[in-house]
Amino acid sequence: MTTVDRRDLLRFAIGGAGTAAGCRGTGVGDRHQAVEYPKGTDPTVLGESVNTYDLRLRSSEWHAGPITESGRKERTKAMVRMKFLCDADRCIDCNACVTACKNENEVPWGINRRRVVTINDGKPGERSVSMACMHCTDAPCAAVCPVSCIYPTEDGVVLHSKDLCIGCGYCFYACPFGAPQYPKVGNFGSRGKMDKCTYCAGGGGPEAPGSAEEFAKYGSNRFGEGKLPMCAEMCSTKSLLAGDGEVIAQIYKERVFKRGYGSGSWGWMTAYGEAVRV
Amino acid sequence: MAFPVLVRLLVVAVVLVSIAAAVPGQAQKRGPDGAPNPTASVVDEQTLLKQALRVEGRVDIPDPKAGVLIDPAGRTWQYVHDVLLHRASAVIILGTIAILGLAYLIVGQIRIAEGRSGKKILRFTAFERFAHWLTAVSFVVLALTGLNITFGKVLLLPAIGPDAFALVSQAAKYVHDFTGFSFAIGLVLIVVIFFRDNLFEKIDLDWIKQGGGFIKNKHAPAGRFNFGEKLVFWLSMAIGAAVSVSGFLLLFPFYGFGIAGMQLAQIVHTVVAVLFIALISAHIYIGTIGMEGAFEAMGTGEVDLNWAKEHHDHWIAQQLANEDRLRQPSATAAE
Repeated sequence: MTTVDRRDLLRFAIGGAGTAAGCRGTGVGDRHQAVEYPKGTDPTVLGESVNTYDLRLRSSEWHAGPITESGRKERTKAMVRMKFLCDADRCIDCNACVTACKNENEVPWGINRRRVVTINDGKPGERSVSMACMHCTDAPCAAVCPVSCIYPTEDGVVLHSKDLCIGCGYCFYACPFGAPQYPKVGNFGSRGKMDKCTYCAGGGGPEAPGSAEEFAKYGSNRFGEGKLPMCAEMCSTKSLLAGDGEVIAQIYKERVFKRGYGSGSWGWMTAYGEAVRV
Repeated sequence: MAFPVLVRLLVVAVVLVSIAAAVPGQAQKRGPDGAPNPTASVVDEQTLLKQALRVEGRVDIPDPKAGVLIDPAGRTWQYVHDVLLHRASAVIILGTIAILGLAYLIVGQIRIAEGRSGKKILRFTAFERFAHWLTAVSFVVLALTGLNITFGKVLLLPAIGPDAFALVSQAAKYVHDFTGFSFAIGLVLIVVIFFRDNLFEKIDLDWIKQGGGFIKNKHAPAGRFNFGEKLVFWLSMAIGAAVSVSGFLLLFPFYGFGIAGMQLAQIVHTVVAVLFIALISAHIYIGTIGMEGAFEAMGTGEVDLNWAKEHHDHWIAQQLANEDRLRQPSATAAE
């Protein structure tokens, strides 16, 4: 047995470590853009946001009533169609979105507009998804409401009127995502007025947008100031995306392409009738 | 051990450990090219939905309903409620009204064959009448407010506008919730009071064979209640129980039942309620305009003697025999 001197030992150790590193892969790649973003809107750069154009909604054009065929056609012609996309492979179940929503909208006790659901917790293939109202294209909650208090806006945001709501609970039965919530303030602790994610777009009712009355009823109206929902803005890993459906679908596709895997756009087939193919 | 041997052992151990660390975990699945593939160990939304009825996970929130990620049954419930129930309810209710209208036009009011005798006999006591009217008035209120929830936005909303309709609907919902209790109490009273007289007997078969009084030349025998009335009693008891139980489940939501249970309770409540409305519409028809001399039985409690002889001959015979036995003057009741 020959003695192994320290230089050989060092070479061996570094070679072993280098092999290990080489097997694992580095994960640091160069940024190559598939899409040219306008200045200041590159979502892959920290601090920049997707949407910079004015999203002030014209409340005079909103009305509570049943969804009509012409209303649906108008929506498809609209400039943008707001959606949520939660990248289940990035979500780390930190619940920052839940806390941000609760805080920003002063959501009453017991109501959870946004929640993070973890599937296969602890097993391989564990995924966390942040879920709130998906603002569906053909919202079943709006169709089933007996007083027609839920209605879509021209940007695809589904809002509701707490003045008309009677707290019957049908929208919760119809919603595939369990978005509508009710405070237990009715007789025998039954339902009060329905509350749900508003896309941080206030209420669209007779209250002035951004006023204190609107905030007390529906929460904040960031949308009227051209901002995106707080949950997506506060997401620590930028797994929860909000904004124009085309743009966030494109972002998600690029991510999947770059990293090589993805579990799909959760809820999109149920909510919008189309999904991002992975 | 000698130092060189120890060092060699250490180096081999370090190399083995670093190689072992570089190999992906055994539980992790690989892609077709052997590279680690995280997507292979998780399936997408559509595949999961095909495997399970709903996708559920763990949440930090203490509300277990929040753990349901996607529940496609909501869309199914919406289809059943919005499409099937709406159409079936409209057909059943409008069809019943149409049939009753036809019956009135064709058959007309069933008159007392020998005309009124002017003499009266007691048929229902004050307590029995109270139980009936408590249930009946509660039923009508419940039916109207309940129909508002199903058909209100189709029929009433275009007429009075969304703000007035919302006020009406909010009030209607509270009225519906509280009147359910008086209906349930009245139903229990009715079942207890009239249980014995509604048990089926052989005489009911004879009643059916004679055409139930709808064929003019035949005489259909009956006790205190004929077969038709007994049917109404038993059906009301069954349907009333079903509508009350499902109604209470809806009144106290999610106490012991999950989302699926609540959806089922709502469907049961609606279906059963519509059938009940059809049944009671026929009952109201025959008790008011469908038959001469019928309403006063529940209205004042006393019926005409000829009416009783024609429609409930066994009952009137028993009543008169009892009165003779007690040696009291017949006909007009003192109460």
